[in-house]
Parts: sequence; structure tokens; C-alpha cells
Amino acid sequence: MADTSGWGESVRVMLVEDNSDDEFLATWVLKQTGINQIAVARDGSEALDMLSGNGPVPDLLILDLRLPKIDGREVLRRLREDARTANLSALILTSSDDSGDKEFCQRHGILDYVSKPLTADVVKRVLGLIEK
Amino acid sequence: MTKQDASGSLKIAAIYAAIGCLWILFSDRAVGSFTSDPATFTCISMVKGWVYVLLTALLLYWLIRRYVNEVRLAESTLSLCNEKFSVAFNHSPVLMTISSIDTGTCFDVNEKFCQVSGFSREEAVGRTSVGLGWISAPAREALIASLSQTGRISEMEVELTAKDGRTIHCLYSGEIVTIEGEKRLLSTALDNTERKTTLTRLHDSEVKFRSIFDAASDAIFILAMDGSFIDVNRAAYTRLGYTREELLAIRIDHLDTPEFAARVAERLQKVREEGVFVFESAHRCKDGTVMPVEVNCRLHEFEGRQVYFSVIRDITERKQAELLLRESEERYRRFSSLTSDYVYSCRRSGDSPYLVQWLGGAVEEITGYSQEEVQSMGCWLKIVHPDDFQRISSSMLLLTPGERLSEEFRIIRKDGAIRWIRESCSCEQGESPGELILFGTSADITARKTAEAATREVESLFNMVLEHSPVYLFFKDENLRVTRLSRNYENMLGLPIEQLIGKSMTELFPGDFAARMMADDRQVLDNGLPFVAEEDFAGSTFKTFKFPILQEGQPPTLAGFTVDVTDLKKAQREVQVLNQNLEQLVEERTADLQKSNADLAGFSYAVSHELRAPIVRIQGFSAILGELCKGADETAFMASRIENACRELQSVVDSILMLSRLSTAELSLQSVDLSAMVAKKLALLLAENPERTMELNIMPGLTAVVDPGLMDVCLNNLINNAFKYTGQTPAARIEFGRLDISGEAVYFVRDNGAGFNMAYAEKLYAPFQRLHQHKEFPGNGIGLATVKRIIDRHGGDVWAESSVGSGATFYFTLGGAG
Repeated sequence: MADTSGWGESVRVMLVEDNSDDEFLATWVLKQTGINQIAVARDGSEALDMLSGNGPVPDLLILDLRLPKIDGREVLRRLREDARTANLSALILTSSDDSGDKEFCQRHGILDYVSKPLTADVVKRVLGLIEK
Repeated sequence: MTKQDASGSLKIAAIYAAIGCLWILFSDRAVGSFTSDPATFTCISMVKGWVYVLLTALLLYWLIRRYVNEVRLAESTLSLCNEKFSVAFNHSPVLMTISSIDTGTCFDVNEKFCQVSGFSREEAVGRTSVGLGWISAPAREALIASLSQTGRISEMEVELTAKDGRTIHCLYSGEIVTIEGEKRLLSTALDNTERKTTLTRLHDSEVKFRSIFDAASDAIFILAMDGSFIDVNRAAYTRLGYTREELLAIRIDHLDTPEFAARVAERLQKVREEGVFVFESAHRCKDGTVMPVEVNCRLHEFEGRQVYFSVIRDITERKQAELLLRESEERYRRFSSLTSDYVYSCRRSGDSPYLVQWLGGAVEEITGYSQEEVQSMGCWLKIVHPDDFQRISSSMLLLTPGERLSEEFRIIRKDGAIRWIRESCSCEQGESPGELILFGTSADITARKTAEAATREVESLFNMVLEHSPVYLFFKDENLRVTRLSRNYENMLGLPIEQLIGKSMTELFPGDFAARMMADDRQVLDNGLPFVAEEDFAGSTFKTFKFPILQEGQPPTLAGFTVDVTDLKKAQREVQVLNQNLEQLVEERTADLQKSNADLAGFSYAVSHELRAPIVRIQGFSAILGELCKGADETAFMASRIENACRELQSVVDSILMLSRLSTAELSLQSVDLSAMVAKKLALLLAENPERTMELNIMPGLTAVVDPGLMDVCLNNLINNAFKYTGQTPAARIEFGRLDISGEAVYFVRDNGAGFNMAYAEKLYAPFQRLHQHKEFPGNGIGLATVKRIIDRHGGDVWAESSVGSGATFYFTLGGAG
């Protein structure tokens, strides 16, 4: 079950997802690829709080767009305004395929924009991009 | 003795003397030379002498004899002469006298003299002719003068007077004769009286002949048998312009014009055979004009010989008259052939029916019978139609001289057709009492009658229209006064039509309304253009159409119709309001509908969208379950079924999503190569499924103006279907092409795969409806619904033909864009 390649163990991932089932599924897949350091934020504002502090910035942000309070687009935008998080690697994981959303996110610099469910292949690919 | 006699005698003597001398001279010499003997000489001389004397004697004998004979002959002749003379003198039938030349004393007269003159011999002889009173002195002198001039008197005309005083015309001749040694005048006188009378009569006759000859108005030629002129009369040469001498010098065949000149000999032959021959010819006058003539030529005796006696009549006038007549006849004939009438005259005596005398003109054209046929009928009444016969025949028969009749009636032509005739005739008195003559002319008026009947029909039809028309019809003259109106005007204006005719607008309608109407009418008449106007009158609205009636040679009149459009207007207004409302309504409804559609689309979209997330979750968990249950077969089986169901659910949701997007998405039309698109798809499918072999028949270069994205999806579905349903077909074939059906481009995708039962065709496009089991051919049944939606969006149609086991053909059109 666990990823035996060894990489990914040091990767710190922050997951922003309001639905517990989706969170479970995503976490499951991440764990499968060997990533254990997963922080979860349940909505946009929580995500921003967690990232605004002085704590370490995660290596990867997995962002759902449909979030209560502050939605994913806004979160992304604000993150990019902040120098600390301006270059934070972000993966959009969403159930919508709105081209407007996609465009917006791409303009704000993302690694990829994928539909749920998250698959191990996608994780590996993204990790590969981060390494670079 | 005459001189002649003397000279003759002298001649003979001289010759004798000469010969004698010479004889003597030379004979002596001859003898001398012959002999010298004087005895012989003398003897010969003596013989010579004798011979000479003998010869002389002979000569003398001859001479005397001759003389005597002559004398005797003369004597006998003289006595014979005297006898003859005496007989002749006395028995001469001619009056003879012997008289003295100088005095005229009569020595002898013959019996005839006595007979004629009445003088006896005793009375005459010894007296002078003048003294006798026989001849006048001047006459005698003339005779004597002639005598002395010429030595004779030859047939001089002398008037002698008989004893009884009668004048005797004589032809006097005289000779000088010698009687008893004296010169006497022998006169003969022929009684010329008869001859003279005859001559006078002859002369008179000649004069008469001459005067007739010359006075004749016709030319007369007298020709010798060889054709040369003997004589011509005055008329002959004056008419021809020659002098008498000139004409006489010409030959007849030079006088004739060439065409007649050739026949002269032939004609003369005829005259000789028949004795007389009349013929026509033409003569050339001196000035060159040609004169046509009629020649009456006969054989005659004239002055003792056979001549041609020709009387020439100048027939120029006659010829002209003939020409005029021919022309007149020709004119008549021409006219006759052109005329559309025929003319006739007919005659009756007493109570007998009229008989046709003469017909002319277009008899055959009108009646169908020839002139001969009508004439043989006797009277043309026979061809009159039985219904009209009585009327016509009785009025004709009642006509008296001076009366005229004009009738119209029908005839039955030879071919059985009926024609209308207008006939005019006038009656005149004939030559004999009780005889009446009709002169008539008939014209075929069938056309007119037919036209009249047609006109009447049209008129009555027109009246019917005016009577029953629901629309108001009016006709006005050039002064804008009413000429015809439809019956319904009675209701509008409250007066009977008869009272409305002839009125002007001002008399029928209120003041300024009428003035406006008349102004409009004037405009129409002046412009010659139609006019439409709407007017309100008496609480109703009327629409009037008026137009000019233009006829050649007549002033323009006006006609038109007025329609009560009050109800129409009301209805129009209502419709307008309704339309406005309707438009508004439609706008509202459209807005509603659009909103509704939008809502629906939005809803479908939202629903589908919302469904996705939970479905993904289920999939996720069931996947995990599947992993956790590896080994536990039943649980694993359950987990896998859950996964399948989820995938299906996902597919359905995706389809709904896509369908809903299709309804609302805007078309962006471009020219797309459909053939290339199809080819690419098939190539891709074959690449993904290498175990499949397939025959492809793609019509190249088929382009259409479509939305590329939508078309891509559409063709995807069709091609995928074709590919899928030929999965179990050994020699699979897929075709793509375009047909022209009634000018519209129809595209098709054809396969020879499983096909479907056409009975279920309705279900084809219904979303999620399938006609095959999942086991055979997987799919969710959304493909064709999608195709239909896309084709609909393009404004086209899609339909299919198939039979189970033979494959299917899907046809589609692309509306205007295709």
C-alpha cells in the first residue's frame, strides 16, 4: 500500500477541501504515494490563516475551488499577492470544469487543474514538477 | 418629072457614058496589045462594036420596059386608086369632102356628108364650106393654120352646122391630096356628138366618181395586182399625212406596220379567192404615228384591169373605245372580285315571280352558289331561310315602281351554313306595261349580327353585374356626370338609379365632399392615371378606385368602384392591436421561454454538476473497498458492481451535461472539410483497434459551413456507432458521402453492420433509448440524441434507414449552412 520509492516522504502538502469524503479520498491517494505530511483546511479563510502565519509554507497546495466563506479562486489570488506564497506550487482539484475558473487559475500560476478524483498518477506527475 | 427621077436618069446616063468611054478606051488598047494585025484589029473592033451596040440595045430595052411597066402599073394603080377612092369616098361612114385649100370651095362631098349635113351634093359642090354655113370662118382658119403648120389636120374638134342649124360636133381630119393634078384638101369629119355625149357623160361620171372618191371620209386605195398604188383619195393621203404623189409612190406593204406588212400577200390572196375580205391592219402615217384601220378590200375592174379596191376605215376611235371597254370590264371584274357585296337585277311580268336577269359581285362568296346556279334557280328567294321567307317574299312582291326596300334576313348557303344578309333594292317600271324590274344589292352582315348579339350578351352581362354587385360601380362622362351606376347606389343615396343618371357630384353629395371628389376625378381624367382614395361618408369609410377609360377618338371618361371598408378598417385596427399585443405577448413569452430554457439549461447543468461530486466520491470509496476486499470474492464482487454502477452513473451525468450545453451553446460557423474529419476519426479508430479490418469509402472534399466543435462531436457519434455496430461483421464497410436530393445536400454515413429494426426508428433519437443489448454493443444511448441536437442546432434534419443484418444509413442535412 505504501509507496516504496521513498520520495514524497518529505513533501509537505496542504489540502483545502470542505467535504470530508473528498478529503478522505484525496488523503488516501496521497498516502498511497508516500506523502504523509498533510495539513487540511476546511475553507478558504482557514487556508489563508494557516498560510499567513510564520509557519513553513507547504511544498504543495491542493486547492478545491468550491469552498465556503472564501472560495478557491479568491484564496489563490490572495496567495499570489503575498510574496511568501507567490510561488507556492498549487494543484487545483475540483469537480467543476468551468473554463472561466480554469483560465483564472492558470493566469495565477498553477501546476495543473484536474477533476476529482485525485489519482496516484496525477500526484506523481505533480511531484515531478515540484522537484524541478 | 421629079427631081429624083431626073437625078436618077442622070445617074444612069452618066454611068453609061462613063462605062462606054472607058470601054472604048481600054478595049481598043486591050485589042491593040493583043494583036498588031490591022485586019484582026479591025475585025475585033467591029465585033467589039457590035457587042457594044448589042449591050446598049439590051439596056435600052430594059429601061423602056421598066418605064412602060411602071407607067402601066401607075396607071392601073391610079385607076384602082381612083376606084377605091371613089368607093371609099362615097361609101365612107365618115363624112368626107374634097375642097380647095385656099377657098374652101367644095369639089366633092360624100354621101355621109349629105346625110349628116343635110345638104345635097348639088348644094354643096361649088360652094365654099364657110359660105354653106357648114363651118365657121374662124374654125376654118384654125384648120388651115394647122394644115399649113403640120401639113395635115389631125382630129381637131370642130363644130359644124347642119343645114337645119343643128350643131354637129366633129373630129375633123384633113389631108392634102392631088386630084387631077390639083392639090385639094381631103377632109374627113367624124361625128363626135355621141362620142362627145358619151365622153361628157363619162366625164360627168368621172367627176362624180372623183368627187365621191375624194369626198369620202374613208380612205380609198386602188391597188394594182402587184400591190402598187394606182390611185388614192384625198382622205387617204391627208389622213396619212402624205401628198398624193408621195403616197402613190409607196407600196402597200411599206405603209403597213411591220406586223401587218408580213401578211399582205396572204390577205391579197384571200381577196382574190373570195372576191372580198374585211380585215384589220395598221398604217404608219408620215409622222410615224400608227393608225389602226379596218380594211374592206374587194376585187374590181377599173379602167379595164383587175384592181384591189380597198376602203380603209380609221378605227382609232373604235379601238380606243374597245380598249376603254376592256379596261372598264377589267375594272368591273377586279372590283367584282374584291367586293363583299353582290348586286343583281331581276324582272317580273304581271303576277309571275321575279326572275334574276343579272348577277354581279361576290355571289359565290356570300351564297356558296355560283352565278349560274343562282340564275338557274330563277329567283334568289329560294335561298332565304324558311323563317324569314314569308316576310321577305311578301314585301318584295308588294313593291311598286319608285319604291325602295331594305331588309335584313337569313339565307342558307349551299353548304348549309346560315348567314345574315342586308339587302337593299329599288323597283322600277320595265319596258313593257306590267313589267317590273328590281335592282338590288346584298351584303353579308353575319359578322355584324354576331357582333351585335355578342354585344347584347355582354351588355346584359354587364347589367347583371351592375344589378347584383356588392361593390359600388360607377361610370362618369367627361363632364363628371353619372352615366352608369350599380343598383346598390340606391341604398346609399336614397334615390332610384334612373334619377341618379346624368347628375353631377355636387347634386348627389354634400358640398366639399363633392368638390374633393370632382377634383380627384379631374385629376384622373387629366393624368390618365388610376387613383385610389379612402373617404368617410355618412359614418362609414369607403375606399374608392377610379381610373380613366381611354378610347380612340373620344373624350376620356371615368369609371371606378367604391368599397365599403368600414368593417374592414375596424377589423384591421383590431388586428393591429392584436398584433401589437401579440408581439408584446410573443416578446414576453419568448423572454419567458428563453429564461425558462436558460433556467433549464442552468438547472441541468447545475444538477449534473452537483451530481458529479457525490458520484466521484462513491467511485472513490468503492475503489478503496475493492482494494481492501482483495481476496474476499463476494465482497470484492459487490465492490466491483458498485464501481460499475458509478461509472454508468457518471456517463449519464456527463451526457446530460453535454446535451444541456448543446442547447445553449452558440454556433460559430466556419467552412469545415467533413471528409477529412471523418477520415481522421476512422483512422484513429483503426489505429486504436488494430484487430479490425475495414473497407472505407469516403467521398473526398465535402466541405460545409458548420460549427467545428459540435460537428466533431456529431460525426464522432455517427462514426463511432458505425464502427461499433460493424464489430461483428466480417467484411465491414463504412461509407461517408453526399447526395443531391431535390437540390439539397444530404450527407450520409453508411455501414453494413448489425442494422436495426425500422419499426423502432422513433426511439432512435430519444436520449438513453437503446435498440441493442448492452452485451452485444455497449453504449448509453445518448449518441444519437446528441447527433440530433447538433443537427437541429444547424437547422438541418437527420433520419435513418436500416434493416436488421444489412447495416444502417444515417442521413443528415445542414439546413442553409449545408
